[in-house]
Amino acid sequence: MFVVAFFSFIAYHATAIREARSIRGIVSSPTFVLTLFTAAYSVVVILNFDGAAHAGPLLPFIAFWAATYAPATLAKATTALNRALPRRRVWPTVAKCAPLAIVLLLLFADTPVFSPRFTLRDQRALLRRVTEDGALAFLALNAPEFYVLTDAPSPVPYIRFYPRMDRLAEARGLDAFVATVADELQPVVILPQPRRIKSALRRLLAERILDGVPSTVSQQPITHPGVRELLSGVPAVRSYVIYRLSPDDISAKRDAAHCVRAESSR
Amino acid sequence: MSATDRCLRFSSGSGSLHVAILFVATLATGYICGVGRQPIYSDSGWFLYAAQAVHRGEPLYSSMYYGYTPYGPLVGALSIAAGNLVGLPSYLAPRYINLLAHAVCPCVLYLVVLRAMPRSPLRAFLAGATFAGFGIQTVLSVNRFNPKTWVVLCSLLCVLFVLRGGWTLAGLSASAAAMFWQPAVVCVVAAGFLALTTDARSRWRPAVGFAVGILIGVAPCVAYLFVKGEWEPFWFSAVAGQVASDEDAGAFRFLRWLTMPVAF
Repeated sequence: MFVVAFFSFIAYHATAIREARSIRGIVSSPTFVLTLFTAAYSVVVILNFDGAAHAGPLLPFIAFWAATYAPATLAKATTALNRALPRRRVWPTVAKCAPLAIVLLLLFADTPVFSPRFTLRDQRALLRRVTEDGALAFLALNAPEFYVLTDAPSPVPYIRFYPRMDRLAEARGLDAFVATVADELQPVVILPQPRRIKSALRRLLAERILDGVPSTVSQQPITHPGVRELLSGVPAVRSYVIYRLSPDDISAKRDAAHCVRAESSR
Repeated sequence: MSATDRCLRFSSGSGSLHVAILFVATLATGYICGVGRQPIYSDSGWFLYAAQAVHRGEPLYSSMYYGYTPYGPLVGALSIAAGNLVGLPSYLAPRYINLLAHAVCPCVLYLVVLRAMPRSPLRAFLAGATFAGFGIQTVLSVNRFNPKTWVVLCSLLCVLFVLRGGWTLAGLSASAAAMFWQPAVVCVVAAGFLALTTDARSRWRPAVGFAVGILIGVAPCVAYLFVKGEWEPFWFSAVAGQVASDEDAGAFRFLRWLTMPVAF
């Protein structure tokens, strides 16, 4: 669709420029408004491309340009079909409707692909298993779904880890991050186990807070294979690592964090 | 009406029917994609968490790292409040309101194309259907409260109002788009350029109307940041944080240099 839109955009403007008497004529045309917005959002998408999600605002303009020559193409298909089909009363109607129906079918054909295998219901069941029916307090880091499903506030402001967050945490001091998380430790700590770990904050957590704590891995596919990565452009989460901390673990980690804080303030 | 439109019996008189078909088809697509079944993870969880945080009365930018302008969580919080009235869980209400906004987008696109190219309602219908058929946009609109769905809606409304010469509403839509996602400020720039270069009898009237629209669109954001005392964390998260990412393009390096000292 992107390719069709791109070539339609070029073809439309080549024709418009060839036929225009003046630049003023092009600029004052209603289609110029759509051209300008397409160009503006194209610049944003090119400069700020971070996965398909960021291309969203350009999609209506892609749809518009992709549809620019569609009526003419449909007319040709209808005429060709009309000629090819035998002369009976029913065929002209078929010839009129078939190309449009095929186009609409193709447009919506991919919809069932996005229907998830691992559903919200499964996720709620997992939450119940992890938190023992919600009785346990937990600290979910980089797994906001646990807070969202319980409508509970996160005790720490760091609910997501990714490189941009690393840079901000570094600017404020990584020790402060470690101390904050350790201060708010809960009996259960949930971390997703990504296939590619790029976050420095996650590494810090593993090395300085959760090192040596017994953990279990809950193997739960998050969604349709491949689609998840396509959607968000972040490392695909395939499973959660669930750490169960004893009161001794928690107080030891807090003491260590206070030492870190004292050293850094000295 | 073009020959093809006549051949396929697409007349502009059936505009309401076309809009209704597009709206229902988009809603149906969202339902098939699983508005109530899509799991929550990563980005989708983050946006829903932000809406829930605002609904709980937490200051948005101090209680979490939220890197966008605040209209998404504000509208999300309103949808949670509305959902509470009919017993919808707080993680589903924003998705349903987002699906509604997404379903309106192809309808507005239809009106935009019909306004720009009035001779071909078929073209307008196909543009709307093509947009509704983008599965990725649909799924991103049903598994979260997606600010970019609202950016699409506001941008299309802006284009429609520009085409109709309603400059105040165009300014309002453009600034609302930017208040959902900062890069949508290009919408303000594009529509602003058109407001200044339009063929209207009075050159200043469109520009002034557009500026007034922008002020109205930005006012709720400014009010929220003042009431919550959130200017500093807002700057940290939505401005400095955005340019502190690891892109190494020259423009980003310059912006990082420009904004980081102000944030820390």
